Amino acid sequence: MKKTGLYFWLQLKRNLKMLPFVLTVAVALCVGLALVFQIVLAQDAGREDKQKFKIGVVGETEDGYLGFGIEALKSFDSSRFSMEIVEMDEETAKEQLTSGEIAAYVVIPDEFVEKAVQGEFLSLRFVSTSGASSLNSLFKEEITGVISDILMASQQGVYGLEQAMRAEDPAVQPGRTMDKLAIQYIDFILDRSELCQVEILGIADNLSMPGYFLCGLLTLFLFFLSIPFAPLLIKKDMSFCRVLVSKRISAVKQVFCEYAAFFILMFVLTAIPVSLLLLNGVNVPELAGFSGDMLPLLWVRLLPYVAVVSCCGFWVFEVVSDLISGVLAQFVVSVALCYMGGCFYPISFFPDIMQKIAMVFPSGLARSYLAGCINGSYSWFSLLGLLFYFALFFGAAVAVRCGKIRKGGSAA
Amino acid sequence: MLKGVSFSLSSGMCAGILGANGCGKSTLLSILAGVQKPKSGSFLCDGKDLFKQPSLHAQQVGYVPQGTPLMEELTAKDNLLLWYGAAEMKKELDSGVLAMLGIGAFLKTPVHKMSGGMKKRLSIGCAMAKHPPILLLDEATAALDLVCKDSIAAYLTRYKAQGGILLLTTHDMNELDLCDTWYVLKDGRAQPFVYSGDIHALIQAF
Repeated sequence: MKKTGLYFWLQLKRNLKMLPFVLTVAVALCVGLALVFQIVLAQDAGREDKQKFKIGVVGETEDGYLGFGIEALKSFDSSRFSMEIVEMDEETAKEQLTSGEIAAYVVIPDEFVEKAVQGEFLSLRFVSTSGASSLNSLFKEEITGVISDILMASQQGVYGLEQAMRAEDPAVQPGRTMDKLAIQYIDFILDRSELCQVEILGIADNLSMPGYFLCGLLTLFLFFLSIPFAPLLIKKDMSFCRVLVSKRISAVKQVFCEYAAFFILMFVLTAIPVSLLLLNGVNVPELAGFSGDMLPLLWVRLLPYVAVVSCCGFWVFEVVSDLISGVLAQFVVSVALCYMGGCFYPISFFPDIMQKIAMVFPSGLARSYLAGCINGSYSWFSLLGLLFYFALFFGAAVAVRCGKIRKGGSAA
Repeated sequence: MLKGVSFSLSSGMCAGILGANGCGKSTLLSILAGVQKPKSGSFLCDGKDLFKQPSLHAQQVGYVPQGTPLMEELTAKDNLLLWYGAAEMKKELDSGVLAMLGIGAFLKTPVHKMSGGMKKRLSIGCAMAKHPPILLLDEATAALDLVCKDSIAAYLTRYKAQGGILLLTTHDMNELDLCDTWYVLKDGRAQPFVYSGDIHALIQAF
């Protein structure tokens, strides 16, 4: 036990010897990712007008009530924050869809109004490119819902009543009464609680865009932070490990001591910039009002997050046996995991199946766990998932170490 | 890989394990060092089976594998601290095994800045902590210059003279002179061999 403690202490010392180099990389990473964060927030994509998806409306919209419905969509409905309605003919719509100027278009059939007057239902036709397949489900579900709510339901109701009134008294002049009714219908519909904006912006985990990118970039930072530890953690020569085993410091104890020393540094190097970032004010709505007395809880919650990401890095370095392939492997694994885990783009931009996979990926789980920490919806499910991955990576690292130590043939 | 390897050594003896590359010399030492577990067999020391008593095994056997069994980023002193207590290390540096190996001269040098000879002497110094009566050396002087080889051979001769048991694998003819008995590993078995300086006879035995 004393030897194991000494080994841990010496590992800590080894890690500290690398501190100047690791710190340099950490600062460079912080600066780089902070710049990316600023660019993401400042770039055009972050502005409201550029966030909108342009939707073409094709068909006869001259009718007063139909025009009123479209105007309501443009000006009053909550969907106006996320989509812009442009009226056009179908040829122009096709051209603009092909060139990417519009995301999709909706065709209102020629006899739409006539059929609505008769109380019949004519489907609206929704056209988008196959390239936008990841967005199609969102569009089809939400935008067509919005359009059909406002155009079809209201129109059918208004025309149906007008028809009934005229049947009752052919001389009747519904005029202002019908206008009032149309406005009332649309008022009801505009009260919809499902906001198209939330889904189409692609922000997951109930986070604002800055909050989401903060979590994603922090996860990416932590994955990349393993890289400067490569010279320490990659073992070209297993002879020292063999001597340790001969002196009863088993592979499990070795991996534990080495990992623990690495983890401590990773944790400190993550906790310090995160704390400074939060205390000095970062433009993330979820963190408004964050104060110093909340730091200890944040650090405790960061523990499993840092533990899993660093354990993943540790395992990668355990698998490889030379520096260059180790650094490359760590870089590729970090980028791939972070991409799949939704650290680069909002996860809802991906197809459904990818979103589900991302949620069980270590990076996706870590990002989601961090999101829970900052938006107040701390998830025990995510914590359990992280613990599972920790055990998996740690166990895999021990297995690889055992295999490498024993490499050299079996004995009879 | 190894089948029915059996031999016995007395105090103050040195045995050389010889054989072609890949014949199992390192595996044999690795098993005797407790790194690999044999499917069967025993390692008797004063009538006690060391394979069944891991604590005793760790005390009785010192092991210097091929390569550099050291923490490269740390100094010689840090590496020694893992195996020696501070007081014990000072004593050994003053007049013990570490003094004999001349480790005091590069105590504060990081391992990655040491020469091959320094690293090998330090490795032996680490293995000699607590004065194990059995020392296993796997090609301990490979790739060292003649001066280094000579200083290590001098230390091993003293170790033998003090009653230590040496078991070494080597391809170095000069090192074979240190040995009192020789075994050639072939087809997984250890066959006794009498080395008389005839290199052709040795090659024939491989």
